[in-house]
Amino acid sequence: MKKVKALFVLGLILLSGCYYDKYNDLYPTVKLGGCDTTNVTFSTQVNKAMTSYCIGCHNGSTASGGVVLDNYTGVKTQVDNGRLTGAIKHQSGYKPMPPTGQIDACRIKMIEKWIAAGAPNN
Amino acid sequence: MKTYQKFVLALMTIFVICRPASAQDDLLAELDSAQDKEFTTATFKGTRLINFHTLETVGFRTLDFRISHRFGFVNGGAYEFFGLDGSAAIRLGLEYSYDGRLMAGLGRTSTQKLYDGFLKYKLLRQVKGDMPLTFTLFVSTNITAEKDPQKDIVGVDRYKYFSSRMSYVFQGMVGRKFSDRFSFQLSPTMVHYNLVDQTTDKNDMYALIGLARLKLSTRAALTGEYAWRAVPYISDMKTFHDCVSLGVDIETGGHVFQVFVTNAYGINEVQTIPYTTGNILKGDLRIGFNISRVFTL
Repeated sequence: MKKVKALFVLGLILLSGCYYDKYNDLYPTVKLGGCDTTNVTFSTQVNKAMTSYCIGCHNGSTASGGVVLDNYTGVKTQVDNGRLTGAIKHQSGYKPMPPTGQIDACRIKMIEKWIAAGAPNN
Repeated sequence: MKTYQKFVLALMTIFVICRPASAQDDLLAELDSAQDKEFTTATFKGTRLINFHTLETVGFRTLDFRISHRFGFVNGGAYEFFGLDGSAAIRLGLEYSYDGRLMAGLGRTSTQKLYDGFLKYKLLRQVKGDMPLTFTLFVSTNITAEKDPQKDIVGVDRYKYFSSRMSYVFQGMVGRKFSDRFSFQLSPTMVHYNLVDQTTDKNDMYALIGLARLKLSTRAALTGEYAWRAVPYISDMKTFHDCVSLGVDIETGGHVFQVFVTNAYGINEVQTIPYTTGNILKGDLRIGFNISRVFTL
């Protein structure tokens, strides 16, 4: 029983290794809630968004709805026919994607910026 | 000294000084009067009421396997089958006590991929005509295993330091079984996050939780919880809401089944107390359940 109590006390001591960090102070270069849409490229922001939210269902082997988003050509096809923007912005006439809930506003802005620049393969 | 450290020190003092000092007296006294003392049992029917811990610990050499679920908002209506179609949060937990008073548990909540470990100790037990209250202490350490979802947007990893993944709960639970039918508990609680967002945000968050249980029959009881966030910890407290829940306990031998509505999605205290987003005035309620199965080892 004493051992158990000793463990409990030890646990409490370990717990006291606490920090009082603030994200804004720890990473002052980042403005939380801000959205930096300069330098948006396919290979970084757009492809990462596809990887995080889309390719689980829209890849070369499963291609739900015939949509493939795991490569540039596939994404470009959906950009050109307007379905990518329609789906992620939940516009009427398009099936809202991803089905689990809209992706964050900043990512949508980034993808729009990239599309406005002609959706280059950069 | 930071308030939080004082709190831990106070807890430790209680454990280190008070307990062993009285332990021997207690043991002798218990030998003499073990038969006379009538400890109140089943103040609550389980170690959780809905989202929060009750003053109960699992029994002597008992292992409790717990499954908890929270579904989508019921205001999606029949089309979303009142939230059951949406993505659900789940917590799986294994909790054990050797002596029926000190218990330890491990669990994992799907929301934020949160692992938790906790210790809970029933310090004082309600005894008829002797001790009017039960008092239980609780500490938990929580570690999120998720990858920073904003990393590619902001270019900085929120979890660059491991400490940023950790959060803690400290809780004292005072409760009483007023009659065979009615029990009530108050839990002053502190939640500590090692990392919060804004410079003006507080890492320590204080809340007072009220829990009540009204027995309807031998098998069923009505339960309710309210977590009042006592001290502001962000500049706009209306961003989040107090966690409110109402439920029913159904007991069948060895199982306790709890069905309820709540505005919280997370299942861990570090999620439900400070970061509940559901606004009950807008009907943001979710159906949820807890199942507990105990094994005597």
